[in-house]
Amino acid sequence: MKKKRTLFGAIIPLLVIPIIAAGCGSSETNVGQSGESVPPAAHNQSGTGEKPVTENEYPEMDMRYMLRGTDKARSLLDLMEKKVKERWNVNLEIEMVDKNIYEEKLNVAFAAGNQADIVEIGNQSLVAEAIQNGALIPVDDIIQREPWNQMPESFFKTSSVDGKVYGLPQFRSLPETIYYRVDWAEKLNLKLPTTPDELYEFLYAMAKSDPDGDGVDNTYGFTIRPDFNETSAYFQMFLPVHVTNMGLYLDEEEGVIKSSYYLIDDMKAALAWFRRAHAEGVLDPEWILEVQSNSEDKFMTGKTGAWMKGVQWIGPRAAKIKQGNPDAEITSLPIVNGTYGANYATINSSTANVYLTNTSKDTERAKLVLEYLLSPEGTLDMAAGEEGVTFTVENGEIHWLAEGAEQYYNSGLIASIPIDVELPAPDPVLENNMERARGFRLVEDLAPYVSASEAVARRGADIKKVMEEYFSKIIIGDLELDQYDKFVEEVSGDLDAILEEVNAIYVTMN
Amino acid sequence: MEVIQKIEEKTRRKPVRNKFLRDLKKHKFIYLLVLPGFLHILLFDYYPFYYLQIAFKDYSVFRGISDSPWIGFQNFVDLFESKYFLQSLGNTLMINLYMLGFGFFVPVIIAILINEIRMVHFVRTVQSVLYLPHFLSWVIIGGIFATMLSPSSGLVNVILGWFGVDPIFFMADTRWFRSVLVFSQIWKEAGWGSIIFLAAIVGIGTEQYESAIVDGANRFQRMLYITFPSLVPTMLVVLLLQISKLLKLFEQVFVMYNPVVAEVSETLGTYVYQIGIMRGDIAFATAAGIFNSIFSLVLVLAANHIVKMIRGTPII
Amino acid sequence: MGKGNSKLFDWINMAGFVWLAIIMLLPFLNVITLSLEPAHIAAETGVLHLFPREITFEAYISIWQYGSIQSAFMNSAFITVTGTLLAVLATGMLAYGLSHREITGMRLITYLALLTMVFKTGIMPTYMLVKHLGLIDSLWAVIIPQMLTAFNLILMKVFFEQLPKELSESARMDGCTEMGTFFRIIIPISAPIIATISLFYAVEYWNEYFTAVMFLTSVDKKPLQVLLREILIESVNEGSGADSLNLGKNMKMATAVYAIVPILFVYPFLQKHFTKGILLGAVKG
Repeated sequence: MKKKRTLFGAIIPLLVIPIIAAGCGSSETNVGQSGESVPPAAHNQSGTGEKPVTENEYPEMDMRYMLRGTDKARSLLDLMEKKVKERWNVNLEIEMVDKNIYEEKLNVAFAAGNQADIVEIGNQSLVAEAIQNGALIPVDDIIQREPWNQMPESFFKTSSVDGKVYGLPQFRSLPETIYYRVDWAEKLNLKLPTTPDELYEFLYAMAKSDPDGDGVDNTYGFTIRPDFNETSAYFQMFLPVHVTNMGLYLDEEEGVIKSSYYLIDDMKAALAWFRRAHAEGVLDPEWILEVQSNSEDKFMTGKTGAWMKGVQWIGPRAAKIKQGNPDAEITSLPIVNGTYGANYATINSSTANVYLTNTSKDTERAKLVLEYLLSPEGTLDMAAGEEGVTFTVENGEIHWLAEGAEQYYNSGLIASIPIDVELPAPDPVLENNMERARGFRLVEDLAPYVSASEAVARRGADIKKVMEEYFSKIIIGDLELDQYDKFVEEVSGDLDAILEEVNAIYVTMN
Repeated sequence: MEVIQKIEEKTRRKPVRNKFLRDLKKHKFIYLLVLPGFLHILLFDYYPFYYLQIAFKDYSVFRGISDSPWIGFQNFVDLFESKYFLQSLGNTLMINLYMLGFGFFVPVIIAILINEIRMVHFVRTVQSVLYLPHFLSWVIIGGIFATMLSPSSGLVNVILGWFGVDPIFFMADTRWFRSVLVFSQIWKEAGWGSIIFLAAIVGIGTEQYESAIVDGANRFQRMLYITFPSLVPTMLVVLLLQISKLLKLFEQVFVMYNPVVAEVSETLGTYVYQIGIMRGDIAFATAAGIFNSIFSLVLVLAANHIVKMIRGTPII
Repeated sequence: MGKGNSKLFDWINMAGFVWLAIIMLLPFLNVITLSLEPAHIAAETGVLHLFPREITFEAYISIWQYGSIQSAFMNSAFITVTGTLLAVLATGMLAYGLSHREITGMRLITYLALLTMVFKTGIMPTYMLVKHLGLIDSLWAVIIPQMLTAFNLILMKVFFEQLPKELSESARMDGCTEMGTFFRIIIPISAPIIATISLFYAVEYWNEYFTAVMFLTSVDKKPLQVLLREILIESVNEGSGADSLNLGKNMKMATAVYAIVPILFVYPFLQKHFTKGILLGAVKG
């Protein structure tokens, strides 16, 4: 027992003094201090004490901007912080938070009065609650100025409450499209599809005609996710809107909000289409285990011939797929016309979900910063920075000056800016892809009504769960197609209550 | 009446207080040792109880606690009235029961058997390897299981194929999915769980083994009658901890399940999470947390009581 | 049971563990293989990657070049080392005190501690507390609230209770005060439990993610787990114009290796305290 134990090498420094003092039979003095386990708090303010770069009339102030995301492209954020400092003498701290924890952090920060000056709030009910309680500041004076006054009024509609505008538009609405392997289609001499049946044949050929030419039947037409995100272009061949979000859509003729779950024949047609694809091996048989990264991996490694993604995000994928297979080429399928028109459709909403809180010490300056952050200039800075500072262009190609910036550059972000902005360098892959989606449908954004509904808050999760379970089982063949009627029976009580409430809200708000 | 009661209380309390003062004098050092930890518990575990009131309020982070109106048990009613509350609670209990039934003794057995091996380097290597899976996140483990159990290319189905068994889609089959959860849980945590028992074995006095050898006990008898019983107190503590965590089953299921097997695997954790996303409401989440805590507390107290009836002394 | 039988048992036992070790090693091998493969090979689904078909360190290098990874390592090391020391100290002291059931108040505190094992109050109250203490954006905010885990406390308490009473009694006979007994007698013989609890706390602190995201705001305070998760999280800007830039599986697995390997090195240092008993046993045959 008297052996020295090296385990205590680390603990000894903390305990050695009391041990010396506490030999057997010694008196008990000053033990309390050694027993104190809570060290004095060392609160460090982060070093934001840079000297002002230029002299301007503003006194120095700190400002915080919190949003979802990661600050991988720190060099770009540094550029933005520097600009804000030079223009308004504001030490801006851009804090990017893990999206899975974001809302929780936002909530507790508000509860503790520790919210940032500028925050992103994705949850529309929280926005409404914040506005009701005066926690957000309207930005009506900003939208009188360039370039906001050139934008259509509809861009501000969803972020207006009682005639005041709270949110600025940062991105235009672009649909998700079906990317496909151009090289495969050419090899198999496939005609580009224009109807649901033709699309099925197209995908069938991708699965069965050995498009990769390795002599083994190891490809599939496509794969989908069991939460049915990023499957809208398939469902919208048969339905007015996607099935997520309770299938809610506005019947423009009647001015009534309805659910596509009640379009029973259309729903069954859609499910039958998927069901057949699963049964015949056109749909990856293990799609039920799909998480998003896998579906992308499968497309990138030539397991599937098609994959769905926002039309503007093609750039990085077109580059990535060539790493493994230099011959691979991708672009989007043109629009397939179904029962309700174009299968490419998206919700008409442009708000950035970024708001000004009432905590700022200098609201006027906070407005200026907010305006810059969400303006085309700010978005461009976040996407690419400035020519000569973060990149240079030679022969139509971008050369990055900041280390690692190329990894995070995505021309799609610039293409989403709501007024036309020139790309730093021409991007034929992106332009071609956007051209393919031309003529997509814009559907009414119901978020303001849905988010205000108590019934949705209470019952929405159950409906979503039941929908996913029934649809998955029908597609995979565990349930017959006719069981769809049972699904309708099961959700109709909750769904009717929701429709009634949402329609009542719709009427009062318009 | 009241006066009499008060006097009675006083006389009853007095000896306790005297004993406390006497103890305080006699065991000054012990009280000093306890003080920092006790304060920590009060500050970080009991002060937050004040905030639990938001479960009974129409709480808004913008209004603050005092300005939010009381709504009684509405949040709890919402929770209990949600369609799949009972199903998910039942699933949670069943899956945990399987995990305890099949998995609880695995780390104990590993610890006892490792202790029997005399080659030090072998022991150290094996030990280090066994606890590796603990450090991998469920996302990674889930991905590996999906690959290994794949009906088209998975190792398990290839092996089953040698014996003429048709491929089984384990991850999307309601008859198999719970077994997958139980097995993967054991796989990930059994090695790590054995550490605490190994530490406990080290604590067993060598005299016990010596006298057993003198009495002619062979190795199995020593394992069974000395090592195993000595681990019982630790096992009970671990059991209690696992019972207290029953309802927290979340991450593993969340990354591994899918809508086809949801009816046998939707747990309270995953279900409340889905509702929570739709509601975005701290008060509801707090109410669900309170339900979890009280339910777990009842389970823990029951376990403690049952152990007390059997052994005569409670776990704690 | 004869000697031969005993030998046979040893062989079967060891063979069993070799099997078990292989099964347990499988996922780890998979992770390392994926991290060493180029992105387009690692992305292939439907195969278990157990041996790299092509080896490249590009994933490791590109993570290492990621901005503030060095300072993140330092932050994590500080949190883990300081946190573990303080936590073991606080837990050990409290557990030893509580093991004296006969002293007034100890049972009460034990029950109070036990209650915290089941009664968790969520992040909001802790956030408020951390803010009141002025610890927002300080590494201490990650350390202090987690310094006492009821489970570890009870494990230690049970260990102390199992120690033979004669030990402390004889120490007192020799004229040791309670303090002397604690430091000279109890702590030295508690090596196994201290090692175990240190390991538990160290792993917890090393892996701490949620509170770090909640309480820390500035870039230079981020611990490793937060930084690595950031590399993994798909997008640069999650706003309405979200794109999920899907990083290759090789990158994901390489971040997992970065996150795990440092903490694995703690184990061998503590391990001898679990295997010492075996050594004693071996001597006695």
